[in-house]
Amino acid sequence: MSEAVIEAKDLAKSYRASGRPVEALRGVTLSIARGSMTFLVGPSGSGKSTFLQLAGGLDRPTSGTIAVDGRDLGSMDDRALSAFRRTRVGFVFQAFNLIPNLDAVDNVLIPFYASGLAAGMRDRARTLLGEVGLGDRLGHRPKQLSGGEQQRVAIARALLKDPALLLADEPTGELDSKTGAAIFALLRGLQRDRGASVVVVTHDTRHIEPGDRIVRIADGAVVGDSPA
Amino acid sequence: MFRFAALNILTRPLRSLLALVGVSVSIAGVVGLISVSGGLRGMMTDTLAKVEGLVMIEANSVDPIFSTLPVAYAKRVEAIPGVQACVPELWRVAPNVEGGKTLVGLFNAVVVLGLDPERHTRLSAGHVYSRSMRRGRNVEVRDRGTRNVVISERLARKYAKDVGGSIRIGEEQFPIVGVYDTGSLFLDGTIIMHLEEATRVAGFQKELVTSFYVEAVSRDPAELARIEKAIEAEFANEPKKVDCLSTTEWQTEFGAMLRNLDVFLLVVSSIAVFVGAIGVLNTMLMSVTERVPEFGILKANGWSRWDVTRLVLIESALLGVIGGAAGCGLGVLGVTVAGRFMPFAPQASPALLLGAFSTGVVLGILGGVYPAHRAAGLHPVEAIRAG
Repeated sequence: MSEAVIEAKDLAKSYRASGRPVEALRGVTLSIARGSMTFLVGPSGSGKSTFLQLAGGLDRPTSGTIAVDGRDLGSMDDRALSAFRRTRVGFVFQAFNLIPNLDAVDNVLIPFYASGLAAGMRDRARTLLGEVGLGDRLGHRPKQLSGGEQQRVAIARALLKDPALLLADEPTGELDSKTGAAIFALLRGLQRDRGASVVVVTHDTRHIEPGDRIVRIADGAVVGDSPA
Repeated sequence: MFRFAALNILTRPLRSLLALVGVSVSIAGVVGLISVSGGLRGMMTDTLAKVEGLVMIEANSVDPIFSTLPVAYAKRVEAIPGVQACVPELWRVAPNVEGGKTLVGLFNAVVVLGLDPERHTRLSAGHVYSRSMRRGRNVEVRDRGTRNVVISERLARKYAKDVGGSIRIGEEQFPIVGVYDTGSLFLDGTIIMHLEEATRVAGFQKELVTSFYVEAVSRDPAELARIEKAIEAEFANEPKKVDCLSTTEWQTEFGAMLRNLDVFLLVVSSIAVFVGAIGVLNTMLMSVTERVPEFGILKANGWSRWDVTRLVLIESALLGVIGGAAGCGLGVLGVTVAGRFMPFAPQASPALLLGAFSTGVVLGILGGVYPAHRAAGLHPVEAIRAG
């Protein structure tokens, strides 16, 4: 469990918002162990989501390095980074991020649509949707699903890749507490049963359990790092 | 990805329909215009194929109707080795027929042709009109001193006349002794009568005609070319010089005229295609702008720049394929309907339809290039936030 799945060194990210420079991360050095459940907590705008985006290859650091499975994401070209996102990392977002005109099955298959592999994975997509409790919602489009159901589709989509790393950004932010608990149960099952490393950005600390790691971030820097 | 692209088009039916209208109308326009040009060319080729010999007219006259030559030239031409026969002809726009104007358009003018039946018998292959008789007979030697005429099937239908009846030319009635049908629009507007009668009707001097039809003994093009040069040389020092034109030269002259038409059609077609491409560009650009968060989601899930580019290009190509096919269908329909009201049949050949369809596809793809570039360049996080 000591081997690192994410290794960040002096990681910094700045960008301009409304014409003003914003330093979202200021030299973060952080190592996240393989197979762990890690919570990134802190006030809004502290840099938690930015760290998650850099770890998922959705963005590139301004300086410093971030490596996943020993591979430096900053040095990858577009094709390699896309392949990394498609095969190695699963995302679960607060806003679900489903394609509105596709049904649940096709939304799960999205990562493999472009590569032409989706047709062969249709049965597995149905199975995964069944595992997250949506076996009777396969042909439903996002508008026909509740918030919790949409988030389950997003989780099934992440599971289809059988990812070594799952990144969740406020996954229960738009859900009621009961549905939120069910979603966390799914994420925790992914970590325990499949050995995936799960990193969750959240304000909701009720779902943290003993043994989980809590990393506190404020003003773009790590200000606390402890087991629950 | 193809299914996803098709779904994206179907999800925005009104916008897709507008783009399809833009593409299909421009492609239909191209099909229609080029079909008309092709029909014109085909009609001229058919007509010229029926005329096997040489036509001798006054130098620098564009048509026998505007030419005047001494009838005595015939004997000198027949004296040239290799010439089978030289038949004098008199072509003039007819005075009004059945009380109506005759010069009512390029393709509908009615002309009078005066033939010399005695010399006609010397033609071994016969004249185009002799070979195209449908009822009755052609003008013969016995028609000298009569007003007997031969009319085309088209004129017979137009004026509800037939063999045994008569047709009014100017203020006089002319008995109809035969009906011909060459199938050529240019040739079938002709009323044939004896040369002497035509001279009288046209108010021509007796010793003048408009042109000569020259038949060579051989059909060899090289021999025809030699005879042509010999005829032109024969009259090179006369006040009335001559031009001798073979079928090939008529085709060349007509081809030059059609080339100008083709340039015009190319310009009009290019404008139509450009407008169609702008329609696709507009549709795809708006579609991409509306779907920015979707592209962010796709990229977050492992789609590369090239994958996104392909998706948008497939969508725009689909618009081109459907618009191209619809445009070809519309074009054929329009050409079929318009053909009923035109004096010749426009030709929408398979090659034209294939070309027009391909243009539609290329137009669709071109219209999608810039939107695809924009979609591919989106930053995944910023794109998702845009939702």
